[in-house]
Amino acid sequence: MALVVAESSGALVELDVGDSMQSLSRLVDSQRELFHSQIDQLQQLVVAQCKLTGVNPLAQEMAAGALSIRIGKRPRDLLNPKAVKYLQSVFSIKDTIGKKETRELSALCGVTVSQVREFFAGQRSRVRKLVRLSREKATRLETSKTSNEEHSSSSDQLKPISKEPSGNAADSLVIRELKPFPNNTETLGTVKIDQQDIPNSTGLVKVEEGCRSLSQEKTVPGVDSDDKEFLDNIFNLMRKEDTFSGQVKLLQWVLCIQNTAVLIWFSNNGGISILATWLSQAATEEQTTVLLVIFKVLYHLPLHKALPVHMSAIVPAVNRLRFYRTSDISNRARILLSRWSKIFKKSQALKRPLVSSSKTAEMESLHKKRMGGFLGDELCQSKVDIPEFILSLTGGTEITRTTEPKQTLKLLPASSDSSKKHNQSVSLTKFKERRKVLLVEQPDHKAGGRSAQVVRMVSSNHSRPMSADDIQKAKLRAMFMQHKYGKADPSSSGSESQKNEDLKASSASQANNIMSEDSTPKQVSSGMLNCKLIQWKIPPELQINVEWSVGAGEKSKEVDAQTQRTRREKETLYSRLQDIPPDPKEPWDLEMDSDDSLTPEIPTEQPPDADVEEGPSSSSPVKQVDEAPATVSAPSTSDGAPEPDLELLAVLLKNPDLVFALTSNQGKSLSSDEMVALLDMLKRNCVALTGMLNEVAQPEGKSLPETTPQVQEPPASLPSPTPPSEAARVSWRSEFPVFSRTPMLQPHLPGNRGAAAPGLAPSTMLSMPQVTAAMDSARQIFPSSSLLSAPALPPQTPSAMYPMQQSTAPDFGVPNTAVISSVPRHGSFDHGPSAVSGIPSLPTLPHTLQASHPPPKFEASRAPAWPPAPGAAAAVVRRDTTPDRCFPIQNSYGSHPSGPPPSSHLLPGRRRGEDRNGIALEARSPTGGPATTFPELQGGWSFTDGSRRDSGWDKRPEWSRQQAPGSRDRHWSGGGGGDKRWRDHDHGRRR
Amino acid sequence: MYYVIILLLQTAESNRKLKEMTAITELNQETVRSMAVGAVFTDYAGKISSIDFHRTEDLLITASEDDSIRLYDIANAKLLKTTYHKKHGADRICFTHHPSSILCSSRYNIESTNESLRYLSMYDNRCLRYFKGHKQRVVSLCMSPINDSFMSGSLDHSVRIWDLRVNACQGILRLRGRPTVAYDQQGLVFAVAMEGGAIKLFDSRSYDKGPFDTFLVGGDTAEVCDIKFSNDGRSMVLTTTNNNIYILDAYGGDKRCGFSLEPSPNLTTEATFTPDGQYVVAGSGDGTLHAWYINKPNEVASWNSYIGAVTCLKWAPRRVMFAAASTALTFWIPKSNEEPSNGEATAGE
Repeated sequence: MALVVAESSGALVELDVGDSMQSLSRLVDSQRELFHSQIDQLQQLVVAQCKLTGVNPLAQEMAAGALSIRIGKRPRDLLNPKAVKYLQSVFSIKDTIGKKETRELSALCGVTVSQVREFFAGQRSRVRKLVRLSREKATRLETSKTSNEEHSSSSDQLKPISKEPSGNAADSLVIRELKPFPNNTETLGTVKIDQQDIPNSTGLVKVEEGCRSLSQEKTVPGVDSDDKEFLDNIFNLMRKEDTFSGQVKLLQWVLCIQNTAVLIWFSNNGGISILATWLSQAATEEQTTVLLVIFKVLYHLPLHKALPVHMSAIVPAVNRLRFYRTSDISNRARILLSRWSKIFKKSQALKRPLVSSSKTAEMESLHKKRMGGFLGDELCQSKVDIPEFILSLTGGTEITRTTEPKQTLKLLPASSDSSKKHNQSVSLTKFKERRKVLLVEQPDHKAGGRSAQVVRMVSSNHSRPMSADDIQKAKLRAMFMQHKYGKADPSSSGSESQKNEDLKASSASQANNIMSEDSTPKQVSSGMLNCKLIQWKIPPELQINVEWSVGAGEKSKEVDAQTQRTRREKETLYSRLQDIPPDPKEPWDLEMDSDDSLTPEIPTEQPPDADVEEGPSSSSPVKQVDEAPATVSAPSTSDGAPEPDLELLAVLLKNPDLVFALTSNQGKSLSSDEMVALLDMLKRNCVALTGMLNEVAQPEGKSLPETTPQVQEPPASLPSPTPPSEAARVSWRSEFPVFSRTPMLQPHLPGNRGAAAPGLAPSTMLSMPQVTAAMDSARQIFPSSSLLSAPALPPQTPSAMYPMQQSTAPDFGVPNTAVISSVPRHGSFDHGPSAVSGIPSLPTLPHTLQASHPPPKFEASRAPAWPPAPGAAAAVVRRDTTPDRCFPIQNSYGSHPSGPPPSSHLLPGRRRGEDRNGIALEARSPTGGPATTFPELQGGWSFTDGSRRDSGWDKRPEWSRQQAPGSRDRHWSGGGGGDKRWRDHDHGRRR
Repeated sequence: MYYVIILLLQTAESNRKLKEMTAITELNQETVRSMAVGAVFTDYAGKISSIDFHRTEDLLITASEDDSIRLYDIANAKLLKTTYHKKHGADRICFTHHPSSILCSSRYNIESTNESLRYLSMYDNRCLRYFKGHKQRVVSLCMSPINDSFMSGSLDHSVRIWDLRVNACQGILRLRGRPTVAYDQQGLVFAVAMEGGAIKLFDSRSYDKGPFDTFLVGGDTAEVCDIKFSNDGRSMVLTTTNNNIYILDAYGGDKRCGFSLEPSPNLTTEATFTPDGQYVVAGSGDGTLHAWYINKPNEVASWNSYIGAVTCLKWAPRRVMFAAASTALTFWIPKSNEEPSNGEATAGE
């Protein structure tokens, strides 16, 4: 170092011309030397002054330095560094601020309004000074450089270009300028000034550009040292260049450089700002050629890599040129702007993926739609932020300015964090709303607002007609400003779209059901539920098929009672949770405890026999009792066959033995007076039942009244031994039910719960047709009539009757007449009246029929129908077989022996006639008949003797039928054959 | 003649079937699949022990182990009322036919007070009647769909039949095991499940005669803890304590299908029919919900319940919505917009 100093002292004199790099370095060294020496001189001066005056002349400065106060601008220097930084960043966006902004800034930075104002004023003046200085300096430097270059022997790109201007005749001035300078190089003053100016200017640049500028000086990787050198030179030249022609030449030089790295370096290191200066100058001077060249350079430069700060310098200038008079220039400016916007969008898209917001795309599309070819998406490097978007929408002028918020955002990490949080948790609309609120607090919005104002200013400055873009911009700006400053009433402040969103959000939150207000926070807090709730809407109704008759309390009395009670009482509502009592109010009146021991016990086991559906509790005695009325009623009322009998029958028919025993027993019970009462009740029931016939579908309701009387009847105990006389009754008992009920059985047996009821209808109806049919055409109709047992019966009937009928046929005239004559007898006899009164239809019908029809019919029907009347033996065989056949068909046909009888008993006329005969015969039959079994005859006896109404009624057809053959047999063929038949008959029955 | 009548009946039946087919009252699988949580209520301090929908109104009642009974509006997913029952507690709950009257079984003090069942009014938060008789906790409670009778099955191995209007028990059924009771949706029949998976069917009008049918859930020794009948009366769904779900033919007792889910220890769970009787939804012990189409047994959907193993699950009787509960209550509604059209169709019917 000492050596260098020593050398330089000598070299100072001969410094005049630096030939090459060597000379340059020498020059630098000499300057450094000079600087040091000056410092030394200054020190000496100060020391001397101090000695002379006794006062340190630098005391003030030193004190200021110690206190970190710079002398001069006190208030500004007292600003805290953060505030300074922030203010500088704001200043870099715009150099003039309004009162409002000033206030906001002062509030934000914690400085006074006047401080802010002064800061800006000071900065402005500094910048102006700087610009002036830099211009001067540039010219000086350029001249010196060019002079250097002229002398330098290095063969570089720079050389020819730089030589060109010098050789250009048009720029004689430049040449002239260039020439004197080399001569001046020996003057220390200029060099000194240059040296002082350079650091000075960089410092200013630093101030202007903030912290960024520090990193500017670092070398760019990938840039050749040569290129860098040239670019270095170019900067110097550019700074110096004042004339448009020189500028053009430099620009053309720049255009020659193809290395993108170099270009990037160039643009990033201040080339753009110089270009911007030139551009504005050229614009004001209306140097269209220069403008065109600058545009070319701008096309050439890779501006997508340029720092936003630089872009902020160039874009406004270019933007202004969009309205330039010459259409060529304005077009180019527009094209350039649109190109930049595209580039920035692309680059932004590259940066986007980092931003994991679902809104990005949406916002982008919105943005594109609105702003078409406008610039300004680049701010997406910062978080996706609506206000920023709005800023960007305000136009190209502030694209770069909007990037500044990035820094300010960093200053306020909390807000962005919170917004992020919202982004994650809250719904989209809510998020937006949040953002809107944040906007009020975020400093960048202020900047945005300012820039918006700038835009307005700019656009209003233009005298040219506003373009659609401008109008749109103005709208957006108005919207944004409203948004920002009209925050007092956010509902009215928002833009239309924003408003819509707000509305949506509010409506959503309203529709989001009242519950969500209670539940969502809870849900969030619970943490167990991490599911995403879908928006509540009233769940659609689902119609239940009416056919299913799903119950809805139709028969409930409680509803009415409670409705009335609630009408009386006041509703209790608790406004707060704490108001709710721990227990409800006690009942008004405390009821007596019921005696639980009286609670009826429900069997949990199915009744043993109830494999049929109606199993429950069909105790056998009840059934027997049921049966009696049933049998009674069945013949009497052709229509009103009581329902309960169906069940009984089902059971009874299955167990013929049981039936036998029971019925035989019943004979006894019937003899009591209670039976009379029962019968009356039954009659009543029958009458009632006839009316109900139509509504068979509801069996249950009707069955109840019916069963009750039956139940009331004293249950007959079961005497196991059945006297032969009773057997007769058993037989007819069973017959009747069988006859009238066989049809009913079928619906029963399948055992459908539901089918049981409908089954009744046919049964009761059938009984009627049967009877009438029987009246009309004795047996022939039977098969045709749709009895279920139809297949079984026809064979039976003939079998039962034929032997007799055939035999009787010739003589029928006699019995028939007897029949007619017997009718009155019956009446006088016994049961007749009661029976007739009970069931008027039947008795009368038969009688009339008997009177008229029977005689011809019997003959007519029988003769043709069964002409080949089998013999007695054949009949017997048939009879045996028929029951057998029936059993399998219908398992309830146990009592089938009665099957045949019905056919005969259906002909009341004949029966009656036979009755009479029977009576006559009866006396004989017990005696004359085979001693073993002639139950019917016994029954007949009892009937005549007992004169029981019901029994007589019941018995009449039965015994008459059964006796008929007997009597006939006796009449005609004598007892022998008849006996045999009877026996068979009995057997069959018992089976 | 009879054949003619039978024929007529048959044609009538076929007509009805035809009508059923034309009337669109069914959920389609997409709708079922689209069900999602539309509302959550997590402010329960304990497990929700039972829930019940009103048959006609848009109401839901819940009973929780925190002794609260809460009434919700299911159309708007809103809590209407809350009452507390610190003395008796709230275990099983069901609506009567009146929209503000409920039946609730007690959790505490049953031995001392014998007040195992209470008839409550949410209208003025008053107890209207105590039904005394059960000596232990009631584990199954159901109301007749048509009249004022209701049934309760208790751990004292008895089922009691009551009438709302009198506090005297109308009938008692003693059996072994834990009883579970259910009325069919027509109120004609009720089912009682007892030890060994035996299901006894009673005629609800002549129950005094004993059951008319018995079904056995073959092969499963676990106790049946829940029975539900479908609205069409054709099927019944049984849930056992080890979380097997059986769908039986309600007439014949034949097992139509069975599903096995993760058991949830110490919890009883529920399965439910959709109102059209075509789907069954059930909760598994692993915190999932499953839906099956029962006509052609296949799983239609499965969801995360978001609230763990579900203890209560019921489909609203007249809405495309179901409620699932554990310690929180969730309302599930269909996501898509298909239902309105469906609803219109049903309304058109």
